[in-house]
Amino acid sequence: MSETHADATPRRQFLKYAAGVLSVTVAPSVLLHTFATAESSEPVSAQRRWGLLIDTSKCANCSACVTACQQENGLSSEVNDTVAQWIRKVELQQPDTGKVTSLPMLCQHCQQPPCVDVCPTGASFQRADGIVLVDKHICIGCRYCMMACPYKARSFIHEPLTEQKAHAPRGKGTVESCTLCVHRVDAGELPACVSACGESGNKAMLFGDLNDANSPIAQRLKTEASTALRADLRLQPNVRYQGI
Amino acid sequence: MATRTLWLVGLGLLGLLAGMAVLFNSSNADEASTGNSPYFSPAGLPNAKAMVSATQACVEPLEVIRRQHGQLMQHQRDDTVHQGIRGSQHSLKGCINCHVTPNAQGQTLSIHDDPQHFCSVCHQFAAVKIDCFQCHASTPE
Amino acid sequence: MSSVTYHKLAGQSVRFYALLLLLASMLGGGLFSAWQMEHHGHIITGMNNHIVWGMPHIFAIFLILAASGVLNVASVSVIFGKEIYKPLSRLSGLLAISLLIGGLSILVLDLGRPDRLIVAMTHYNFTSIFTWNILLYNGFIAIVLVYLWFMMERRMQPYYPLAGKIAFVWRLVLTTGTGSIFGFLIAREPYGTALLAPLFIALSLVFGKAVFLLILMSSCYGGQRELNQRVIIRLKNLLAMFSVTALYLVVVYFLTFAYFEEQRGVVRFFLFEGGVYTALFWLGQIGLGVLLPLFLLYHPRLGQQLRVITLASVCIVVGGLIQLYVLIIGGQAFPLDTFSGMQVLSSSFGDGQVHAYSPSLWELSLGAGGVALALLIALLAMRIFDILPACVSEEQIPTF
Repeated sequence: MSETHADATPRRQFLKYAAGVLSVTVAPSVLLHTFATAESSEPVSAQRRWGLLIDTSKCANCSACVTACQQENGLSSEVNDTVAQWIRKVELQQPDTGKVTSLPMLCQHCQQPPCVDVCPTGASFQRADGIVLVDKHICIGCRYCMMACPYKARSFIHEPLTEQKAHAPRGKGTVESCTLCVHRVDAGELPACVSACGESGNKAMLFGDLNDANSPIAQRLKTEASTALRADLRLQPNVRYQGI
Repeated sequence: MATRTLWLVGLGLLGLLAGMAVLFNSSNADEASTGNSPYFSPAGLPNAKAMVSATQACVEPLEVIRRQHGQLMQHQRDDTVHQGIRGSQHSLKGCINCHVTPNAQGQTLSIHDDPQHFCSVCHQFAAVKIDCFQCHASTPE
Repeated sequence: MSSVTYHKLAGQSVRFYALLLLLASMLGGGLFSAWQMEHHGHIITGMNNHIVWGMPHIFAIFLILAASGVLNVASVSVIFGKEIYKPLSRLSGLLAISLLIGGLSILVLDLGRPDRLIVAMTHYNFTSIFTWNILLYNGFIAIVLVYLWFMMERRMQPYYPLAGKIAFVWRLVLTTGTGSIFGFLIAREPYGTALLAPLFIALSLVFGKAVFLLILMSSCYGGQRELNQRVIIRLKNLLAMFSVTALYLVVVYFLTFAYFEEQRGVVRFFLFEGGVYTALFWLGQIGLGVLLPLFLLYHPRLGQQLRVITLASVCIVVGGLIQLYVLIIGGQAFPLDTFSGMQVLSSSFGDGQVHAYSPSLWELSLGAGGVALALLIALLAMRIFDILPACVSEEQIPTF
């Protein structure tokens, strides 16, 4: 399957053209921002594209990834309709054959993310290395991204929070989702869920650079079958699944 | 007569709306003016954990950091969030790690529990409400 | 052509001040609710991570649709040259602005961070239909203000038809934009259709006309002014016709879903198996909002009585709110097909389930506060400016 950035869907193309008409007025500020120089470390670049391959045949009936995510990012372990869930375990059954599959569900870090398209202020954005994030400093809490996401990856913070982790700031009135543990990835570590899955012995989650042809993830994607969830929407997620 | 009353009612409503706007607007205030207030003495503040170098106390000269820490942190914040540029000296985390120190009882309290928190002291004096700590941790890691 | 004289709403009556007080207290209640939501967070509302837009959005979208629809009375006069409506153009323009301000206030106060409104006004992402709507709404208010000024300022009279035409085109684009907020959402099956744009335009005409009729009739209630029955009859005929148009588009909306096997779930959900949404659809949206008012409006004898026309308009407003509830809440309650045909056995985040929603009083109060703000602005403007046509009697209306 083609994975290039140039392969934009018609929907996005249309929006881009429509945007072009008015974007002249904002272009200067955008450009200034893009070319701001690094102070001590380099800005992330599009040479890397982080991705995740989840082999559901190895995903056992455990929730090590969920617990690890909650601990790493200071999320509550409560489960109700107003608590944030960045990653969740889902159990599925194929209705025709009865085959049961268990898998972790998280932000799919789409290459064509609808949350980024719909965000009125640009708070939802995609980093050059493919990670989709919310800049909570400019998120106004309209929740339009939650309406637009086909994966229900996002949560809204319904209550004032205290005792957040220093590396994972989160607060009332803004929307958030899986950051792919961007603070760890930038430090050269694995996302918390991936490490926990490895430590549990299941090794169902493989993280790596999709643009590096020699990386284990790229090698496996090249040789083994995998699918994107809601592939019909052509959002080209950087998270892919095997065995469903 | 009645018309004038109505104008007054209308103005009153506008005032009410403006009041709400002020009530809701907790951020975006100018933070730059806190440093050189003639009435405020930073002498009462606890010392930071370390000098940045043998000759310099903070990551910028004190005049600069006191006036411009807001802008410096905001610039760093955008670079970090959008471009993953980390390790620069103007991060909020850096300020907190160095400046927020244990109190006389040996406890390190968050800004919500401690009126003498490093950030609180100046900001309360200058009546500048900041919303950083609705999301960010206010104690060292 | 005889020139129409306009005057202010008589304001000495107890009734006027009682209404003023009622609306002001509703507005106060709405602002208090907004403050509570800001203070405690959205936890005090019925909205959650699955039903992310709730009651405030229903009121807001109703007001925004009615705002663009209410301008239709002025447009009919200036675009189609129907002189009979010309005396009502000022009221039409005023209501367009006040209803829009009411609706937008609700949306803003429902934000997770209403204090960051300035961010929404300074950071724009032009691939977002929301961004376009911010510009369309602000532009609409500006254009209609100019239009009103041209209508009311003698020296600007020659230009007001031009302003009216611009306002007419703008309002069509605006309602298309409002419909596209939902129409561009590919993720959610009940929304991802371009039909929502024309449906919203039809709904705006229905809601706008019903609201206009109600306000026009109450502005004459007990006042020194008399209603021109012929104008009301014409307006109610238009209302009935728009209502049929909107019903037709709702039918087409469901037909397009019924045509594709994989999308039939939407039809089954709303029309048959959706529990509360199915009940609200048939009884509220269709029964109360379309069939009953159509019967009343088209009845040869009843349809001529002002009281019955008022009742029909109220039914249309209530039915319209229910219709938006079915579309907005029901549309979110409808489970997302995240796993393409797989059956969800368990999930901690409600995958594959119909989501529950029970609105809280805070939300209702915020919505009602927005309605009150819209009416309050209209009421005060009618009291201060020469908006209402003086005693439009039969002989002053040119015959056709």
